[in-house]
Order: sequence, then C-alpha cells, then structure tokens
Amino acid sequence: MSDANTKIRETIVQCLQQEKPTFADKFQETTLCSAIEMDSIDIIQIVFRLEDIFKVSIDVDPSNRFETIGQLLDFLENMIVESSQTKSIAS
Amino acid sequence: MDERFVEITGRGAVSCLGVTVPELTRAVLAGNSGIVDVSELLTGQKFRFGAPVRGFDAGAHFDARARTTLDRFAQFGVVASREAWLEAGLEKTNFDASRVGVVMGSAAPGSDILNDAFTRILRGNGRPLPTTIPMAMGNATASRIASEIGAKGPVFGITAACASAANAIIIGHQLIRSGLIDVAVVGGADSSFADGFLRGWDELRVVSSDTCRPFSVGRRGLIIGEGAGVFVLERAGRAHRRGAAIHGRLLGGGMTCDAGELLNPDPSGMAAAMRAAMADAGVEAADVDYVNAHGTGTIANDAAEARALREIFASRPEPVAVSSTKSQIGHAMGASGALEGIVTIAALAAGVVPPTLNFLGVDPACGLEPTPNAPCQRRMNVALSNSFAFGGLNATLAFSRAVAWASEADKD
Repeated sequence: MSDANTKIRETIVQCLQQEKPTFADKFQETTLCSAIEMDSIDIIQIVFRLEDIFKVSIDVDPSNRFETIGQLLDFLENMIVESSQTKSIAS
Repeated sequence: MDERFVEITGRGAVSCLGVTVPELTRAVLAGNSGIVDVSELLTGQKFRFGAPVRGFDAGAHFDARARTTLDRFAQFGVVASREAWLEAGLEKTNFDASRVGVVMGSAAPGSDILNDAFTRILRGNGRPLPTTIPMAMGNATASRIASEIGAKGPVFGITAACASAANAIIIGHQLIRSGLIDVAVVGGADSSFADGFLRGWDELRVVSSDTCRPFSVGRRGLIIGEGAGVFVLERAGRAHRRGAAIHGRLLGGGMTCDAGELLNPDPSGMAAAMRAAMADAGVEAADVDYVNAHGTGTIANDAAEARALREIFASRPEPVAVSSTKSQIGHAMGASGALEGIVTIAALAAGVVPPTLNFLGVDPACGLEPTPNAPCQRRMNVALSNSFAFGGLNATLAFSRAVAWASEADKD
C-alpha cells in the first residue's frame, strides 16, 4: 500500500470514529458493521466529510450494506482514489 | 359499550408556556400568556412579538446522532409524543404493534433545516447537510415516533396548513373507528422561527404589530407561535378493560373545504365543518358548552368565524362560551389543533373557560364577547375546537369530558 493510500485509509478511519465515537474501541477491520450499528445515515455522513476533505465526489448508494469495517474502508478508499484520478485526468 | 368510542389516554405538549401538558394547561387556565418580544430572533421584520418555545434543550432529549437527523419541528413532536405515550402507559401492556398507528400534522415541515440548507448555499461554496431531506420530510415526526414506540400500523404525516393537527387527529380517530387499528398517536408539530419562514409571514402582512386580540376591536393580526401537541387515542373498550386513566373522549370531527379563495375564509365552510363535527359526534348545537375558536386575531378569520358561530348557535337561548387560546400561545401553526385540543379537554375537566386575552371591546364586525381577559368557571360536558387553514381547509374536533363507565358490563 502506498503512503498516499495509507493516509487515505487513516483519514477514513478517523471519519468513522467521529461518526461512531461510542464504538471507538471496536474499530478493527474484521469488526462487523452491525456491531457498531452502522446504518445508511452514517454512510452518508461519512461520505459527506470525506468529500469535503479530499475534494472529490463519491458516488455511493447509502442503502449499500457492508459486512465488515474492512469492506467499508476498501470501498471508500477505492472510491476516493478513483475520483482523485478522474479529477487529475480531467484537469 | 360502543366500540366506536375513542378515548384520550395520553397527552403531550411542547409549547411556549412549557414543555409538558401540566405546565401548558395550568398556565392557560390561569390566563397567562407566552407571547413575548422576539426582537433578538428577527432580521428586520415589521413585527416584534411572537410565542416561541423557550427552554427547549434538544441535548436533554436527544443524543448527537438524533439531533442530526431530526429537525426542530420533529424534535418538538417526538418529545410531546414521549409524554403522551408515558401517560397512556401502553408500554407496560401487551399491544399488537400492527394495530398501532401514528399520524402527525405539520404546516411547514423542515422549515429550520431548509432554511439552513439555503443559507449554506447562498454563503457560497457551501452545501446542504446530507441529512437535509430526511429531516425535512413531512413524515419525519411520525416515523421517529413509530420507531420509538414500535408502531407498525399506518404511519404518515399530514399537511393541511394550520388545520394539520386537527386533520391528523380526525384521521387517527377514523382509523380506530374503521377497525383498522386500536391505538393512534396523533397530533401536530411545527417550528416557526427560521428566518426565511418569518420573512415570508412578514410579507403576507397578517402578523400583528402588537399582540393577538382575537375577535376584539383594534385587532391587528396573528402572533406566530410553534410547538407540538400529541394525543394517544385508544379504542374505548380496550382502554377501559386495561384500566387506563381517561382524560377525555374524542367524540368526532368534521373536515370541509371552501373550494374557494386561498387566503380569504368562507364562513359557510367553517360552519359546515362545525356541523359535520357535531353530526359525527352525535351532538346538537344545544349540547355544546364551549368552543375553542380558531380565533387567530386576523381581521378576516375572526369576522368569518364569528359569523359561522352565530349561524350555528343562533337558536340557543344561552350564548355558547367561546375563547381563543391563540391570545395566550400565539398561532402554533400545524400544531395548533392539538395544543388547543389539549387545552379544550383540560377546560372541560376543570370546569374553567380559558380567557381570550388582550380583548379591548366587541368588534361590531364580529359581534362576539369571547370570555374576555379572565377565565370563568362553568360546568361543561361537550366542546368544539376549530382549526381553519389557508387554502380554505376547515376542521373541527368535538370532545367530551371523560365519561364514567356505569358498570363492568359496559366494558365488554
């Protein structure tokens, strides 16, 4: 994983922890999203923050279900990287 | 016992006179006012007075997550519903969740979060919060209440301007009578002090430059209020079998439309709503002891409503007692029918007609003396509560005092 990707992943984790502060001690990649009561409102709140931070547009259906935190992180990381690349090409 | 009867087993209120029913009803029956100088909330409007809910600490009722998903109007409604549900005591009973419904009215759902969204956009580079849409939904209050109490029957919002709560109450009543459900959580909620909303009212030129003087000579318009009122309605047999405390009976309701002007009320439509409510309730004009009038304090409403009242009650030897609670709590918009309904059944129970404050004298255009300036004692059994709305919508609720059950046999 590149330094840039590591940084993106760390930022996503920080946003997740801001959204779910009461579950901060459960943040492992294998933790089930249901264990931290992650729902569609959380997803759109996190995406909103990430879009502001990375200046990208993340296309996500808030009703998407992610089984584990790791899967959610993978999805968001890929979306941010892809959106950043698209933006670079466009500019 | 006629299973079509519907009892009121729970009440909840968030108002400018307090965020519980006892605070509201004590203050109203004592003749107190929640109308205050709201200059600090204004941005150049021509009026100065309003009736905002003060001392409502959202943090005391909702965690951070709930506060980011519930707009202020819905917070009012949910807090009122918790008081009503607790009073009804249904959580301690076994109820069939599929036979519990929630119907909540709102005239301007999401006024705060929409104001916030436009403010962010107009600031430049800003964007609305991602929860703007679910917060502004007209069913936001009903959906949250349903989640909290576990209601899985019909759950929806109603919007009928200032008759929203009264319409919601009537529909909940009908859902029980139809046999579809046994319990309905009904009422209305509105938050009215977002800047864009206040500016809109200012431009409509119906807000009073001083205070609210319903039916009075010298009245200058309405006073903007807000809040929430909620009833738990319950099928009578069920309520009595479980030994629930009964706070009054919803006898019936009437809904009509003027099918005419948007802003100018038609007395015949108002009278038709009162007649429909009495017919539905099985009472005559002679049985009605008190009318909690819509009584906004505007030139047009009060003259039209007074004419409708004269028409309905002309044949009575004794004039019916009339008053307008809006002189005390302002116009709580889509919550007004529920808050005034709560006041109405409190008045019936206490035998006290609440006053119409700020009354300077009989306006010949109204020809009505609506219990001016001080409460008066009167034994009462049946009352009407009027809610009339822009768009020509008229709704009247008919209540009676809590009815004593004659025998155990009646419970079956």
